[in-house]
Amino acid sequence: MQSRQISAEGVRMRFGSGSAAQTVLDDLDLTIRPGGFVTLLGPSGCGKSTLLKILGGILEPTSGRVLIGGRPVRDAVGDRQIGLVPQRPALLPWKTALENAGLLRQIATGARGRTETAQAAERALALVGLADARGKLPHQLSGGMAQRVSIARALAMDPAILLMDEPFGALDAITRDEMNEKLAEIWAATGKTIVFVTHSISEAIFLSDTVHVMGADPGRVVETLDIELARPRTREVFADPLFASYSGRLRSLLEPKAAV
Amino acid sequence: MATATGTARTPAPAAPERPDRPGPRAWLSAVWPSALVLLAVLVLWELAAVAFGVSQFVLATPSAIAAETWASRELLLAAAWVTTQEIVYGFAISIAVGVLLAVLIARFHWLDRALYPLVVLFQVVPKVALAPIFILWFGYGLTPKLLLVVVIAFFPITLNMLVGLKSIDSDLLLLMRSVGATRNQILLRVQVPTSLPYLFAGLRIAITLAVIGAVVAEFAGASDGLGYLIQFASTQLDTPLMFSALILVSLLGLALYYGMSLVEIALARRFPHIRADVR
Ligand SMILES: Nc1ncnc2c1ncn2[C@@H]1O[C@H](COP(=O)(O)OP(=O)(O)O)[C@@H](O)[C@H]1O
Ligand SMILES: [Mg+2]
Repeated sequence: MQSRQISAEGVRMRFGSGSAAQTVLDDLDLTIRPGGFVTLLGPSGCGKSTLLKILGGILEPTSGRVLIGGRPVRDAVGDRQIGLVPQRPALLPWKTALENAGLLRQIATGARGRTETAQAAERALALVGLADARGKLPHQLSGGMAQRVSIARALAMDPAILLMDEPFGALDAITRDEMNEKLAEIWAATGKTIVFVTHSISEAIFLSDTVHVMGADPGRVVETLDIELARPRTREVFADPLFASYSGRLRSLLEPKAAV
Repeated sequence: MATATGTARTPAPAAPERPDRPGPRAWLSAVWPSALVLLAVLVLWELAAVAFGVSQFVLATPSAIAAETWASRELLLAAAWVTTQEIVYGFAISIAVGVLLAVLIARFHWLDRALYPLVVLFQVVPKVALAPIFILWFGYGLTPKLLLVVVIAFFPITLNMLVGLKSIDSDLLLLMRSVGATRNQILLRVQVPTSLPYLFAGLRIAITLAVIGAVVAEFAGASDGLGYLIQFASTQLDTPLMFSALILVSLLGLALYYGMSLVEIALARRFPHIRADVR
């Protein structure tokens, strides 16, 4: 596979203008190596979603740039190299799970790719464990299932890079653990680069090679922590003393006042 | 991903499950309380008119109205047919104009900026006052009626549809754009279907306005129709006939409203989010 390193260089994002202007991200640098599982961990409102959209090339930064394998992120998006799972599932309510899963790939490939799209959507649904729900409409799905359709929609494009914005935030703890294991499997099996946004410390540790801790006002990366727990990881990892030490470290980074 | 899964089956078309519909029994149990109240009002009306000796010129009794309706049934039906045409054609044109305007405004930024303020500004014009002008220009025929119906009814359609077209999820919009969706693709595949519940909300307002438009246009100048009949009966001091025509025009409005609900239900099979409980 061609090198798909993601690098953000001096990314700055401002919303609004005049006195209402808000600097959400300021001079942010970030490098993500291909094939890694990287988490952006930070408090709510620190700009995680904004950063992820910029990395995914669907939001243009005010200044700075994002390169994928040395090329502008737009090119990678055009080649379906990036799949983005937004924070809300954003499914079309009149389309079945299967049709929703195929939506973006269908548009990217046009009418020619209809059969491949349907097959890819089918595989993606199976991958997230929703093969049986293919004919269901979004209102017939639970919140967690809808979110998994949204993940399938990204997977159906078979992207080298998967950007996920708090995909399991709405799930109960048990389902969340299951989905985390499932995601780790998918990642191990496919060698995709995954950039994962969360505000859950244990989720971040369980999944990641690298955790970038973000701070707010303005959003920036305050610390980067490598997680050196052996893989494949199971639920036993939660009992690992190393897990506890990572957890304490991350907690102190997220609550700087408590750490002093 | 192909590395992760095995065989690729060709998927069968995935059909959405059918939404449940209330049966006639449920409908009846929902309707009978108001039917009972209506009946009570009619009886009271009849009794009060007799007890207080109110003249039929002032307030016709339900029994007199019923008798008049039966006696003048051919006249009433002919007039109802004329008014029905005015409303239905006018409403159809209103939908076409209203939807087209909304889609164009949503699609082209410059139209949004150029046209939308004018459309809103147009709302301060008391449109029923346009009726005499339309009569002056187009005579006593169908045209001025259609014109007035459209002028009154298109606005809630445009406004609601426009809100619907703009209500699409911002992240989905960004995702669609990122995979190269054109503005037309986004409009037709996402925005228009998304806007359907809003469109129907607008249509429900518009259909009642269309009835008002047709009646007012007939008041202003006509040679036929239920509105014309009401006015004619008033000059003849034929109060029961006035009420007959009034009731008929109300039933007409009700029937059209109900007809539209049927269209809505039919469309909800394909686009279930039209039903409020699905959104
Ligand atoms: N499109 C936008 N317009 C204006 N402000 C925005 C927009 N998107 C995000 N913001 C603001 O940027 C900040 C960071 O938002 P977000 O990236 O969603 O944070 P997080 O995902 O970390 O919770 C918030 O204060 C939010 O109000
Ligand atoms: Mg967020």
